[in-house]
Amino acid sequence: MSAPVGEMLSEKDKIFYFSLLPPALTTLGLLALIVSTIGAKAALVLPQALAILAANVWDPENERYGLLAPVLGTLVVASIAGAVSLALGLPLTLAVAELLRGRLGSVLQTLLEMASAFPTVVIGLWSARYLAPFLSENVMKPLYSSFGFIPTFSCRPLGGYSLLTAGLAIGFSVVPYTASIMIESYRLIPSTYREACYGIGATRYETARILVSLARPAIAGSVLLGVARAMGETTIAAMTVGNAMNISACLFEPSYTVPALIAAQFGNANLYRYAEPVLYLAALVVLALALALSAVGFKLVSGWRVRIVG
Amino acid sequence: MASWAVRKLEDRLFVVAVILGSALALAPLAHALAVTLYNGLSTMARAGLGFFVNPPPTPYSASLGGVAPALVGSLLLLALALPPSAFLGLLLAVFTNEFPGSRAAALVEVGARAFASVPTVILSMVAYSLIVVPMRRYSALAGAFALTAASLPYSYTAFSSALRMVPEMYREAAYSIGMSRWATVWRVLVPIARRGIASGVLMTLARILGETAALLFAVGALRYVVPLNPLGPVDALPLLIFDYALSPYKLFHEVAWGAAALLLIVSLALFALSKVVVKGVRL
Amino acid sequence: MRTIGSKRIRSLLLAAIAAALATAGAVVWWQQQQKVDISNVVMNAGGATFPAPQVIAWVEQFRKERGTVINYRAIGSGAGQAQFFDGTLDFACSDPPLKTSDWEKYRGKVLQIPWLMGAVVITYNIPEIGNRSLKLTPEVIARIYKGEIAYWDDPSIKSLNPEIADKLPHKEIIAVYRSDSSGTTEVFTTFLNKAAPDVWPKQLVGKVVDWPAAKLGRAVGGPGNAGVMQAVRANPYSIGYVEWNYAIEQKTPMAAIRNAAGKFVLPSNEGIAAAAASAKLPSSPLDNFDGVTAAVVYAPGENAYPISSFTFIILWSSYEDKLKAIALSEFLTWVANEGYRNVVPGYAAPPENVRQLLLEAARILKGG
Repeated sequence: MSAPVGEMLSEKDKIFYFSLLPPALTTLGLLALIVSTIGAKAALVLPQALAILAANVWDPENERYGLLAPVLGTLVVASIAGAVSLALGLPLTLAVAELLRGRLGSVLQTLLEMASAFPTVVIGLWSARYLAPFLSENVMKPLYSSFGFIPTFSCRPLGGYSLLTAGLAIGFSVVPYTASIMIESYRLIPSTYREACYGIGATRYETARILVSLARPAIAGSVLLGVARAMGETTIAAMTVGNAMNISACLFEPSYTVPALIAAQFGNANLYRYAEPVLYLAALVVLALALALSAVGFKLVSGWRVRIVG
Repeated sequence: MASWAVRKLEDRLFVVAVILGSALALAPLAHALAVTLYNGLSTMARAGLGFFVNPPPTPYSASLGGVAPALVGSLLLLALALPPSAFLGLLLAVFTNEFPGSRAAALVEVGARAFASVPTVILSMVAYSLIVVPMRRYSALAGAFALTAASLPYSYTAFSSALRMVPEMYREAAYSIGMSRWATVWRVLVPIARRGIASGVLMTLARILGETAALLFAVGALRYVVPLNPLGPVDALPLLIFDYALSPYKLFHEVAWGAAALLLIVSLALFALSKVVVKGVRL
Repeated sequence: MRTIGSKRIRSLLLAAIAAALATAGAVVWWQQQQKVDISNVVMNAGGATFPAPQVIAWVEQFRKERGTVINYRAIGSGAGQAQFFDGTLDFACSDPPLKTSDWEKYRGKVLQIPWLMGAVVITYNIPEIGNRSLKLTPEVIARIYKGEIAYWDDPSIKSLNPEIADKLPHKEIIAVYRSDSSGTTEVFTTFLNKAAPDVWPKQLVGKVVDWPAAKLGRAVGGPGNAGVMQAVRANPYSIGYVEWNYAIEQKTPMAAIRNAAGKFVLPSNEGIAAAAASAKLPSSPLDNFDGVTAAVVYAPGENAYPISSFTFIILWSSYEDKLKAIALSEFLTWVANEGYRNVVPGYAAPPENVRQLLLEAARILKGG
């Protein structure tokens, strides 16, 4: 496309390049500042990081902290959200990009884009008022009474505030994002594949199966990107997860996620010596996970795109 | 290979599954939209125009009051955060579009993606430690810092795709008449991409208005007074919704729904506007 | 002896007296006009949700009369203290006073006054019982929050409430607690430890507590008194501890708790006053108030309500911004005179010696 930097640039262009460096460096500097601030603030407790991550306690008065519950909770909630975004994103992708490719498809896609403009705090409000009671009555209680022997369903729901509710709510909010990446990727599959399938008389279902299996890396990558986003979701988690330092196999019990913990405890953290560093440590863990997952997800998606088009 | 009848059945079931799955994907948000508009619009109707100019009620108020301080606060934050976010995003997008092979551009790409992965509540923590504590007060400034950081990846991505969609031929035409890169970008490419850029601005706007976690520890929730000082605390619509939703007062719940409906309507209006602006871009 | 021109002297005297009175009146009027204009002062305050409805009502009334804006953010006692010390709040409200160690750090620079009284009530949501009052003892409450009592029809609850024992359902108790750093939690856990030390140990006392019931999945955290109240209202079979005002406003039932004298009492202004009577308070706002909370809780007295509490205002003894100091002083004076006459239901004005502390603090702020 454009000439690479180096020999081919004229004097004027070099000036142009250097004039744009400051904003670029400022942005990168900002990112570095943010990450280093978190690291610096967590430094105080880094030596005991493993011990803190393995314990389940929140006792600032006696300076005892344990992040096991929120970290596990974050992983569980993000996994549920990822599963939801896969289970619901795939049908959406197929609807928009395979089945309804005409006017109806673009209407659906517009609806999808509209959904991604939905403020998460409103989703949180709706989840706390409607989703939690609904799940408690119609999903958790029946599952508890019929399948209570399975550890995942072995507890009586307490009003619906739980990892399951948080996971589902965040999943619903992340589906538009995940689906949009899936759709963009799916659309990149050269039409030759589709034509070949129909050409040998495959049904829509069989064609879709083949194309979806072609797109597997991209789909996996999109889900990972969705999971990374779900990890950082604060408002929905704070309003639905129950805010309890509780680790349990049962998904119907209240628990914590790291963002919800931060939202609840950061405001008073500097009253205690180690509370703030521990919260920064928790933030560091989630940041590292989110960065790692998005990097892998992005690699999968973009690598696949390069291969499929080439 | 199974018989044709079986394959036809599979195909039918497939279509049903896709439709059901899509409906299930959108149904919760559709329900949330309906419920928010229903509850919120009835609150706004009862509060009348006062909803936009009055302060919120106290637990003992007789009337519904309004969300004026939070509304003005949100607008103030917008005014402080949108320009840096948009300008920086645009400059970055131009940079990576013009010099895509350079190491710096690759770093920017990675950096923008990394930025997008940072949970916004962390941005709020950093704003608290770096701005609120040294200044010894909560401020719209701290909130704007967090919001700029939160929205930058989105504005960059939006502007970047807008610029990338401009066909090469315009660039080549500009070079062929001897325009420098600088001139090409600002006099040819950006104007051609202006609709995509405008759409990007609108979406960034929507994102800034709806962002809650980035403001949690930065702005101080000046709830009952309309803020006039960017160096002092302000409230914001999403913060008000968050606080009021968790309270037990029916009055507060109603105000929360009203504010939620307001936020939702504005977000959707901005979205619609951005679509209209981009319509009919013939390249 | 006749005075010379007595009639004239009399009228002169009268004129002099009238003039004196007029001048005095003019001087007083003029002085009133010199009342410092504090209508443009904006102060940031924050802290406990316990007194929040009352503080917000006072602040609003004061604003209507004098124009000063006090922005009170109910973020919890812990956050209030933290942000007061790091300078982002001008004054803080906290249910517990400063710990001795913190007070020592700022000795002479910080003022505390237990300016309001309230009660922590145990409220619950049991559809089968409706609005009836359950009788509970501190041991039973402690065991519920420890997760040891799991169901509403536990024999220990039934034996305390024979009249409604058959209505108590076999449903799991959901214990609601404060998820944020809360003075109300500190008052509540101090009470549990003082009244039932074998069940509730000292380690479980504080603003943020590692609730045993939470570890068993039997408890839910809510932010602020408001959050706890909301959680109790929204979840049948839950129990929670909130400030009295919140339960009154939401019309939820309250438990009658057995006090130190063995009597089951409901919260009442007399009960709070009886509890306060036994507290020995320091004589100056500059003093250390650590321990006052423990003194008032589970206090002796026939009618004392066992979870009564003072709630404190914490401020600096001097401010760089002189106008702010004057505005704050005026506010404290107003509370001592007007505010205490209009107390919102669920709170009680403190005893007279506290009122004097408030006025003393107002004097200190003005440099007196």
